[in-house]
Amino acid sequence: MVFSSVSFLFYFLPAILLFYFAVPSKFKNVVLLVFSLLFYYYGEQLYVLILLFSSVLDYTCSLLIERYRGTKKAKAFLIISITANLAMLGFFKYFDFFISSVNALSGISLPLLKVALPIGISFFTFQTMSYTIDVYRGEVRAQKNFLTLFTYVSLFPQLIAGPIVRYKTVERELNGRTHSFDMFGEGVSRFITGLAKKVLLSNQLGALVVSFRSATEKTILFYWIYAAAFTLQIYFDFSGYSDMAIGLGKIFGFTFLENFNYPFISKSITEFWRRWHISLGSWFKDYVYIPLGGSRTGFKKWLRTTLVIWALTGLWHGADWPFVAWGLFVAVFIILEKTILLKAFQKLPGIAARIYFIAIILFSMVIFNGNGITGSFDDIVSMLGFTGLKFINSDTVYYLSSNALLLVISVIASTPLFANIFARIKLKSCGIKILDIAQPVSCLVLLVLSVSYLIDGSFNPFLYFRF
Amino acid sequence: MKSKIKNIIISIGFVIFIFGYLIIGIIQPDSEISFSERRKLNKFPEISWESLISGDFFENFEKYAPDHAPFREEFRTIKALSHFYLFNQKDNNGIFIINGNALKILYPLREKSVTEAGEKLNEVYSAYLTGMKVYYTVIPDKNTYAAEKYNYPVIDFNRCVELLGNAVSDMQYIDLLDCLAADDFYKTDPHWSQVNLEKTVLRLSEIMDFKVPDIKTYTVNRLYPFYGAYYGQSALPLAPDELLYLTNDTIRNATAYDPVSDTSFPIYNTEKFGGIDSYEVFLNGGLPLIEITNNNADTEKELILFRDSSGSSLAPLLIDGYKKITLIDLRYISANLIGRFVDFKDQDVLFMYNIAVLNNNKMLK
Repeated sequence: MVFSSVSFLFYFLPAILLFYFAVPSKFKNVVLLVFSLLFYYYGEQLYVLILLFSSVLDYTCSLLIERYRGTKKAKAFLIISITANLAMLGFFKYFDFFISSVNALSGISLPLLKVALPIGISFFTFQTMSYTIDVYRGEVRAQKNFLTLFTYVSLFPQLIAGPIVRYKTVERELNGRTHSFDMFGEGVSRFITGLAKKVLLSNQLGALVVSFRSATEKTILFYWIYAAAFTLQIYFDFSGYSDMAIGLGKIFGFTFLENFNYPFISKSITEFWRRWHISLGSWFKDYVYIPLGGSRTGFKKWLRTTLVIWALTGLWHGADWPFVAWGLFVAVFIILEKTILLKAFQKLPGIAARIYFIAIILFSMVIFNGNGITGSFDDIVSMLGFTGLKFINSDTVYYLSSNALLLVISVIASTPLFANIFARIKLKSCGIKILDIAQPVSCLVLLVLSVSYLIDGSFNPFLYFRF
Repeated sequence: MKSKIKNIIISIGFVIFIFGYLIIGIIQPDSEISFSERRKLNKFPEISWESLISGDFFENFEKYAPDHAPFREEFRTIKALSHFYLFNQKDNNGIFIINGNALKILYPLREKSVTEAGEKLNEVYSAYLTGMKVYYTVIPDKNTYAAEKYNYPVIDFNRCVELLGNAVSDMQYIDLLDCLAADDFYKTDPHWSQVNLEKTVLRLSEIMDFKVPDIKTYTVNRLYPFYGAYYGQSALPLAPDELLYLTNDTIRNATAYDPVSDTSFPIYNTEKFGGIDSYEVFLNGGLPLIEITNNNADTEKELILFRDSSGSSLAPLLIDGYKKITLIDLRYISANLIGRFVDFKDQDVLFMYNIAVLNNNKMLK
């Protein structure tokens, strides 16, 4: 089940709201747990047992870590937890990738398992690992109530497409939280914003990407339009989902950390990755990068660590070599920026850094969405005009003119322009009153528009489900 | 108004919206058919242990829920209007409107599909038609005439004909491109209007050597309002068409027979008007096989017409030229089976398919 569906909006959500707010506080976690499992079961049926296994494993290991704190046994239980989580992820997500790679390298043909990937496994295994590691580090106390931990692991707002919510972020709220119209109203506003981002912008941009892929006469300009459309599509897809998750969290009394911070206003790839999928970046930073030495080691070690981190980031996004290539492409530019480019850009006009950033981010997204490594290479070569394509033709004119306003709205919506305008309006005496009227109205308009697009059955796949 | 009240309004408004929608959805009876989209709606899935464990129930419920959403047509209209006027998109679900005329983007040309369709025609020729006089033609879509003028993507019609010509053998091509214009098609439907087929019928009669009366001698009959296929797909409040059909004594005395179901019916079945597809007035719509017998015939000539739905409205205008016309729709019957029902001898044969069908040869069995 996805948030942007009629079944979620008009069946699942009313049902859980009814039960959740009808029961006393001590039963609210039970209601959340039951509905979260139903939410996962709706799409994955028996894989709900993986959630149970993961919860039992990390519940047991964390209690044992705490019991044997300061001894080698504590470390052993940490290793057991991490190994089991990684083994689970490796089996479901990477086993066939490994076999395919061995087959390709050796020329043999070992059979593939072809096991279906459990939705959201990359998100919830990272969450549970962070929990056990944080218990080992003494940053959080092990949860003694199994149902509470199981509720955290299976919490439906962030279960299948993030953000990666760490236990310490919601520890206090899991044990007791307050509910108010303010939290509920803000949650609803945030949820509707995310829904509109996904349905009104991302899905339409996705339709443009599909049109590009099926077009028989592509042009250089069409390639650039495609690159921009896909880049914006994946942003609104994922940040829209994160908004919906954060909004739903608020409705049920949780405060999740932000996952995006206007990444397209960055002036470098390094800055971009501090603003994009923040929960994943900080996870790798805290649990891989810093333990491997971070930036305080020598250059060679830092170089190695950076390449490892980005190869892993690529693999996290997909079990295939093009994703590794994409991760390494990003790593190369992060390394170049750290060593040369950022200093060089300080001596150049600001526009130079912007142009560099936009070009590299578009190329990186084209690689991300490419049809294999050769397909990605062909796309980039075509963008650069080395394949003899025309610059423009009538089909390109059509798709550009039909989607020009969508692209402009999307670009503006990806910047903090509206947030800044609202902040300025609030400074004026009548500003708050205007916004108090405008916000409920805009919520209603966006909700009605989003529902109308959903009912018409337009293009609606969530890109981040495949991770 | 303070922010607290704002959040109360948003909270209560949202709860009323989703609970109201749920309650109305439960109370209102489910429709079986969407007339505007011309399709059966998904039914509430069967609840059983097997369907719950296998996930079939949830998969089917995901299809059921949007199909039976309250105010569905109104929401579809809101979507279409916002698509055109808020986002300034030039088409909605591939449909675009020019001066009240709904057209559908047919693009890109699937060259492999056209070639395979030609090979399918060759298979039929080899199996049944060797030595017979065989013609083929491609019916242009109304988009063929209008799209380029308004800068919409369009299939290269000539390239399609070229591909088909390269694929087929021992058949003569009849070019109908210059016999039609965008206005010869209904405004809310992809089909041509029978009253505008004068040049088309004349071209066919000249090349295939049969005689038909002047189209002006027919009586024009009218059915209103005709909401075509694009009316529902566009979800916009377009003005309906008037469905026109032509009659004369030959047509009135002719009989149509379905050998598969062993039933007879009139050439124009006006009871079909106002149903899920009003174009089924012509020869009862999509049937695999139809035999039309001209009871006034002064010729022994027979015609076998391999056709799609456009052929249903054209065939009545050819009756005067033949004693019998057999219509075969390869979308509904496998080419391997038609020998059981049709006796191929020395008839004229015409393959007549719309460019949209050729571009999606999966339709042909």
